[in-house]
Amino acid sequence: MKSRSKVVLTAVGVLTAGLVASAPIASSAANTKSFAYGFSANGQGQQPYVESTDGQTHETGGAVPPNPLLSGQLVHLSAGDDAAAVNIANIEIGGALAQLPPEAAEGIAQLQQACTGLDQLPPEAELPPIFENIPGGVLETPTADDLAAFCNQLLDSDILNAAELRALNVACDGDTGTVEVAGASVLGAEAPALNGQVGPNTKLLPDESPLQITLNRQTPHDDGSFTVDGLVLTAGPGGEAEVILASTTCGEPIAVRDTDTDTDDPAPAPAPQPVQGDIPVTG
Amino acid sequence: MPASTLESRARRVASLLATLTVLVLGAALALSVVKGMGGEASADTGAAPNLAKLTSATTHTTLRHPPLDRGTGATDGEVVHPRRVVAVYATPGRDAFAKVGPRQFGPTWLPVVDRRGGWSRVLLPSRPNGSAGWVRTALVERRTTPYLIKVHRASRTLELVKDGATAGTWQVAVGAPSTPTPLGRTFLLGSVVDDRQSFSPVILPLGTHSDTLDSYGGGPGTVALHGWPDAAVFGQAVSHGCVRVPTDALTQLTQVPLGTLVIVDEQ
Repeated sequence: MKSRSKVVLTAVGVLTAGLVASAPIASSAANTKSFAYGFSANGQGQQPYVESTDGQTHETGGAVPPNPLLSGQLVHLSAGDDAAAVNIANIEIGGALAQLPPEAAEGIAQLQQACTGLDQLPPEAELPPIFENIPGGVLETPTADDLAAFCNQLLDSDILNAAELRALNVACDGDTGTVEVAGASVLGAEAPALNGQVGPNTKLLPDESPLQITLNRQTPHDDGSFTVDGLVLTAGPGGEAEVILASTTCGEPIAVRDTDTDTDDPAPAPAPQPVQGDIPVTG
Repeated sequence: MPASTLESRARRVASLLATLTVLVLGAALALSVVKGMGGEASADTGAAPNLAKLTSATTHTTLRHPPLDRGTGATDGEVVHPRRVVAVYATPGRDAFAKVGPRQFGPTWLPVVDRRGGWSRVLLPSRPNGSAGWVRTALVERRTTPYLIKVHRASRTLELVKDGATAGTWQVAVGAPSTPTPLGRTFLLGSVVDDRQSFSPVILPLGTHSDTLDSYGGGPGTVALHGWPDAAVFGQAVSHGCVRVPTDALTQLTQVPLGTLVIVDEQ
């Protein structure tokens, strides 16, 4: 388990050094600034990036910077008055397996072979070691049907990547946020369970796992701003190695100060303008 | 570069990708199991709520176990208008139980009944009567109203207070004993012209509902202030919960800002 953690920590460190750290850093945001970016590693190299400090909506496009972990076509970023959004298409996680060194291809082949052997296992038999090596004892809980269905798809598919997402849409609006996944597949097999709206702070692995994948990580900040990260990969005991894909941060509304003080005196409310409507009341 | 270094790097990359593969496989299976069991994925209690899952607080909805307003007195007159759909919390920043948007009949204005460091407690227009919750002050537009409307059930009168002084008092019709006008604090929710009825040129729905009628006339039993063509009802307890007021009262009430507090008491 420790060796896996070290491998990813190393990879993230190399990645961080390789990225250009010219983009603004999230922690320095003023509370009225809203911004969005596509990708960062350990808080560095937030690229592509867009922000709004004047309440106007600013937009840009671009691509996820080259890195060994994942690729994606960034189709849209926007930031405005207390709102921001990122849409990324065709995300490929884990690189092209077809171009991997023999060791990686062999690992996948072992998974396929293990899947092939599942049908021949008696119900009470132990799972092959390759499944038991999955962190956190995840395979202690899935049903046999879950595993069989996944393996069937795995064996019938042409494997190109560890995982693919056709679209990842992330948005914040004030102190709320949404993350939507479409077209998810894992090892070439469709993974419909991952599609659709994802709940806040959805952790995909048990807490004791040395690595974590979190979807829709939501973080309120002391300055009133609010961050929604689409996909977060963290490693290390304190989560010190971190890769973020698709992040949005909403500051406070530009046009309105937080004027909640006893000395403040709001302006008089106007007389209402009647509206046409149909409201059955109790007469 | 030495061959051994190349081999070492290749093994490292292979190991990383194999790790990711296993992780993502495990993730997909874990989520499948979570969804299959009908459970919820883990979520921090301090996170912002998912607005899509919250009930919208309108006159047509009923909230599940909301905090209730226990106050009986006047406020300082502050009213607020949500600039967008905002979450409503049981306590500041905790336990979101509803959402409220910028428009109901017209613009949504809610009375502020309490404040606490960046948060405002507002009355809501949903059932059950007295529903109240906290919204972030930074997300609402703030105004003040000089008015307060008092409805006294026993004396069957409506008192309009402006800047702390009585601006007018009228005999009105209140709810009959079997369909009483509900007691407590509520507010002026809208100002509506409904051409499909002829009893009042304008109807002023309140944020409260009949306690005895679950629905009325196809609506949710919303209580309102409105006119009435037959002056004989004023001073009587004859309505289904609404407060029927004379033309002069209605004229003045149409100038009262939305969100203005309405207190119905037993006096």
